[in-house]
Amino acid sequence: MSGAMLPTGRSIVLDRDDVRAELGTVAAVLRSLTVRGAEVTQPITAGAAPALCNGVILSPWPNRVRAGRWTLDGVAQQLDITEAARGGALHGLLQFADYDIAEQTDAAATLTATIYPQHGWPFLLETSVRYELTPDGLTVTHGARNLSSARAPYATGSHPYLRVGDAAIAELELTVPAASYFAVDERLDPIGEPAVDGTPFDLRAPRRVGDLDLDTAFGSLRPADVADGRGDVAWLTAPDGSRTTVWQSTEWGYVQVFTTHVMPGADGPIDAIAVEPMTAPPNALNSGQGLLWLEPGASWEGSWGLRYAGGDEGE
Amino acid sequence: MVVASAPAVPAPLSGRQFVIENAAARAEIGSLAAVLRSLSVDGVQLTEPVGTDVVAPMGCGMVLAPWPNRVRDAVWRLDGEPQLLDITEPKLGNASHGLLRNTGYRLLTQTPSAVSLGALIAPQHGWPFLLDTSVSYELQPDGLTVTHAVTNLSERDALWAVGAHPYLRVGEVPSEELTVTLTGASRLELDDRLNPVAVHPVEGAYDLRAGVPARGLNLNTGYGSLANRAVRADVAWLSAPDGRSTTLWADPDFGWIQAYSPPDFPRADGPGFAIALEPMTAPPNALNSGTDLVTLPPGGSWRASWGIRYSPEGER
Repeated sequence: MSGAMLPTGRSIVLDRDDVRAELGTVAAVLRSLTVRGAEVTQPITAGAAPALCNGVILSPWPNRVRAGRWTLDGVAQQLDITEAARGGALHGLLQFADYDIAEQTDAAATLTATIYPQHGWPFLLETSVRYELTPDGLTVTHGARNLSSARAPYATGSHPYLRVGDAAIAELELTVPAASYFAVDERLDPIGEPAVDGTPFDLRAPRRVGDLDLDTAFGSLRPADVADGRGDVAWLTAPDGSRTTVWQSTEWGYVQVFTTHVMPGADGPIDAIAVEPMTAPPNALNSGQGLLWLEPGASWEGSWGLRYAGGDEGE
Repeated sequence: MVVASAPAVPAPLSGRQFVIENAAARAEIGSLAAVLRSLSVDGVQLTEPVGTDVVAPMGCGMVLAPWPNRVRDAVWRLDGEPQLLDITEPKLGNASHGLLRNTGYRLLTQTPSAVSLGALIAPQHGWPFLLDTSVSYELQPDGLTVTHAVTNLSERDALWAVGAHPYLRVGEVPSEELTVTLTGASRLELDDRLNPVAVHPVEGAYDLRAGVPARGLNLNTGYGSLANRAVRADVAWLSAPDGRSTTLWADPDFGWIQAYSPPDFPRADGPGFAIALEPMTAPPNALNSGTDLVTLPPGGSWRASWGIRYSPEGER
């Protein structure tokens, strides 16, 4: 149950059949995930706020809105500028919101947060995130309901940094079955969506993470092992064959990959790799790409998840 | 996938609604920014009313925490390190009115005549502190007491300031016909981006201590050196020609008032002149000047009150 208040809010532990997740109510953050003792995500340091957006929910848009500006029915909208270095509006409106706990069992929790009309965002949305343990990982279901009297745009994403047990990040191999990527300008706003063929952004065959330097969105996903409307969109494989897999339901058409060498660790900066499921690409409020439009009263939900398999478990 | 398409059910844009009442007074509060939407005594309206389905126009009734007014360039320094806040006033490049203006407060306690709402401030861009905050609205026979409280849940000292943004009135008397009295003996000089550059003794048109007609005032001015320096006291009031008045009182912790008189406050019958008298514990840009910031040790708490009182004819 909830204990002391941390920078990540109230803590929630899900624990069933040797799969364990820790959540926090601020940004509905995923603080850690382990499967049979193996780290599946980079855990958030106890007592610290999420570093580099680790584990936070991105809503009602993931990634950037160029200069925080977009246009709604011909009217200019100016969002708060939340990324001082690049002058954009980054990662939605709930990154520091303390969600309510709507449901909590040993194996699942639902967190809810209301998005109120504010600068550049004239909509009232009720949003939710449900984390549910599975035998080999976690299912995360994002929901939104439009409580406004006008139709509202919506997009969402999440920002997990992945681990494959104790394997060194640089030695992992990343595969992303994406046929296109989003080229960006110096402020990381997208300027085109070229094919990955013949570019350094072709991750359709495994690439060693230590050789990658990415802060890149990918599109035209061709998920593997599609079943029940969901498929695998990224996976990291360790030298011993163990694997962490990201799956998405089909309306999640995009994934952002971010590699860094400066994730704060216990003994100084460490390597980390984020694989961010997204329903829309960067700057979608301007491009319209991947944007959901919710009529008054309408709801939406969609899922992504993580799966872990040890080296001796095959996959 | 879209899983449901029910008929439109617009919810109140000002959040969950609370109404408190006693024999004489009535207040309406919304959870968004813990907004004071309406206050009346004996049916006399003491604040500009805001509808449930409106986001506080011109900040009307909002709670401003953990700082009121502006932080210049949305940047301040802590232990020599620059702290970059979100820019919430892009036109002027500042961080305005704290971190809770878009937050739906939680209900903590409620009685027929009082309601207490709480909100967590998590560490975030330019703000490395974890604060548990609350605001309590408690009706009195002649008005309202508003108590702000905070506990520092960080493992380090935290900074704190708070304010509120009521627009006052005296019933249906047009605001232009009121007399404004403000006890501040000093006032802030502002630059073109509304950040303070100097403190001056009040003089001329800035001196509101003896009461001035509201008509023609164009205030957007921070006042200090109020009448409540030693003890809780009346710090400003609006008086009607018939002698009725609405008074703002405050604990000594609230050492500043921002006076703001827009000509175009949006009312139901169209835009008009209105008068905000905003009690504040610190002046604009206090995160940079350090003036009157509260420092809370780990686990430390603070609370202080201000309020609004109605006086019938001749009783002030």
